[in-house]
Amino acid sequence: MKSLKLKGVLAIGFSLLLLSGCSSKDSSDKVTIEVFNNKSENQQIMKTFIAEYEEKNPNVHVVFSSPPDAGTVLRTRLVKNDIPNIISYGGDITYTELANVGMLEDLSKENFAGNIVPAYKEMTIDLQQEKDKLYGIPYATNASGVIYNQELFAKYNVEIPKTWDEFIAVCELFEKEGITPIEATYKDAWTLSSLFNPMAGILANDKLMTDRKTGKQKLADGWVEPMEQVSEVMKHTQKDAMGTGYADGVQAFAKGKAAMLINGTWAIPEVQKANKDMKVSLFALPASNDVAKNKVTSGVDVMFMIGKDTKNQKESKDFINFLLEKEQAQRYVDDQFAFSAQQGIKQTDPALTQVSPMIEAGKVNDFIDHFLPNGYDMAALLSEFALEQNKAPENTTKNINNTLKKMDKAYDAANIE
Amino acid sequence: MVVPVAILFFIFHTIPFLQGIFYSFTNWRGYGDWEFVGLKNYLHMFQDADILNSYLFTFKFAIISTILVNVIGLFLAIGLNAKIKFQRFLKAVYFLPYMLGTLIIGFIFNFIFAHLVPEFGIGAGIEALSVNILGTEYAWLGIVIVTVWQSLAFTTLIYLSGLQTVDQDIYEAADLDGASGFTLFRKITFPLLAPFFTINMVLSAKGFLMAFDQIVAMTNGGPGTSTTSISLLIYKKGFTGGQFAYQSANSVVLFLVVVIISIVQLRILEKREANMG
Repeated sequence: MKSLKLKGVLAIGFSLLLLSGCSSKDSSDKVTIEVFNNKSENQQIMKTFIAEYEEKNPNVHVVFSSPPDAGTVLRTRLVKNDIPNIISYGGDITYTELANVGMLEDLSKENFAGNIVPAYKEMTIDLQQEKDKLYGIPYATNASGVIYNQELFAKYNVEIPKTWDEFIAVCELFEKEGITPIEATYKDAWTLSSLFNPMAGILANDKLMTDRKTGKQKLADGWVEPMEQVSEVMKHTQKDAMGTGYADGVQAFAKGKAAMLINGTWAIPEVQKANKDMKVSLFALPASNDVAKNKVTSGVDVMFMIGKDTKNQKESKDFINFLLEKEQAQRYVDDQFAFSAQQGIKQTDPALTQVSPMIEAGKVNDFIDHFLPNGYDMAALLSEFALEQNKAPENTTKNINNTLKKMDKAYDAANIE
Repeated sequence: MVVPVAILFFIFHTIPFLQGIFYSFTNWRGYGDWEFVGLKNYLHMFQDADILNSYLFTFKFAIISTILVNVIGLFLAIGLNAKIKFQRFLKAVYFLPYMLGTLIIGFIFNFIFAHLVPEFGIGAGIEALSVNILGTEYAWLGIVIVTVWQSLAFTTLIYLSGLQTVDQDIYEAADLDGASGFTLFRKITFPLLAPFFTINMVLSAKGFLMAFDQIVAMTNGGPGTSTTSISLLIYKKGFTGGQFAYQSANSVVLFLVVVIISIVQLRILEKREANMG
């Protein structure tokens, strides 16, 4: 018995030794920097860039981590005070938090902060409290909108809708022809946000989000019309919209089962993966009947930040500089169907000809959910509304009022301070 | 071997557990600064609609699943214990779901509910089956079906081992007294299985109150928040919602709830065992 115990203790001690002695010898003379990335879609191209950079700079070793559910992983790492050197992340509420609790280095004085497209620089500064600093360098941006099947549009001579009424008319036209107008994927609740963001961005008063913060306005004051539009769109989807997930919906759309898919630029490569020969393009969802008011909903999809007080900042900045070089920036937007937040980089892909000019002209709105407090589950609230609508479409007005009440209540409760 | 295991258990289980209790009295968001707030988190829980709804859903789910798993499991065990052909093969088949990971089962059933069931429903003209159940207000039923299907294996196994312990002489004696069929089950088999019934009730109730994996894989708490279990809420709001300390308080409450329910079950069911013996 005694010998067993001893063996056990030895085994444990030995395994702990193994765990601690894990640093490999060959990289000891190299500088290691870690890039933490939150997008699953851009892993391939990021890895390519890293390999090229390491070839040019043999003294630097870049560790790439891109875990699923990256937001959660990042927060759990912050809990342990384990901040990555470079954080490559979207411009949303996570950035707001990191910037405001002092987890990031100020990059406003760096020379690479000088080449950002003004609209996106403003968007980034809007997200942070201190207006004279800049904690993230916007790199690539996306656009939310309506992905459409060009062949079906051509076959029935459908013009790209410029107003809300025209958009609904297009839906009705396809319905008459026996084609599902919109393939909806509400089982993945976040796709409801893709629908709601442009509507709320275009129709609600620009001041709504800041006024909501100060308590001057309620969400219910500005979101009635967008909610009505959500319920309108729900009438023109396939039957089992609530039970269709994003992946299945993309597959169905790629098979030509529906004319439109309301999502974002990031979904185009997914459609093309499912069907190489399909001709798809994207137009901005025209939520307003006043053409001048219709903008593209576009947000910062990837920005680079540097963790506060992390080691090897010189190398980290040099790597960011490498990514921002014209050649890499161009390759990135071509590979990802993205738009660049760096001046002088054009997105010329035929699938994006509808929105590229609008974005270059700065006719953009940021995503509404980038301004909502963390822990505010917009998608779940919209999904609950969709469920109620499915059960009792005749009570639309009541459902909208109930949902808006819940939305305001949830906003107040989102962060218990 | 006991000492190292105890040390490991202490490091990886007891310490984090105590940390969780400690943080539940703070306002820590999971990062940054924090201060003590006393019982504020615990008091706030009672007016939080999200938490209330998750408890309602979890209890509904746990009660129904526990009943179904034990009733069906008991009958399966009796069936598998009878003299039938391919007995071993059937036992292996019934035990298979237990070997698979809950997440994987969740993803597979996701496919079944999204494609196979609606195709069958449309083909057979059954309106209720023509859409994915996980996108409707009955999504919780879909989760119950999958959970019961997977949990049956273990419950059945325990009942089977219980039936193996019953002495065949008793059945012969009962047969002489003219007991058969349901009477035999009610008067002889079930009372003799009482201790195994207790174990199964406690274990399944505990497991279902902490349901997480299958829900993440199948609905992620949706549609709306209709299938958000307590564990899922703790995970979602605690890590991504910046409510680390607050949800730690929720975890402590969940722990107490599970412990109390288990103790009450044991008390009642053990008393029952004593009466039956």
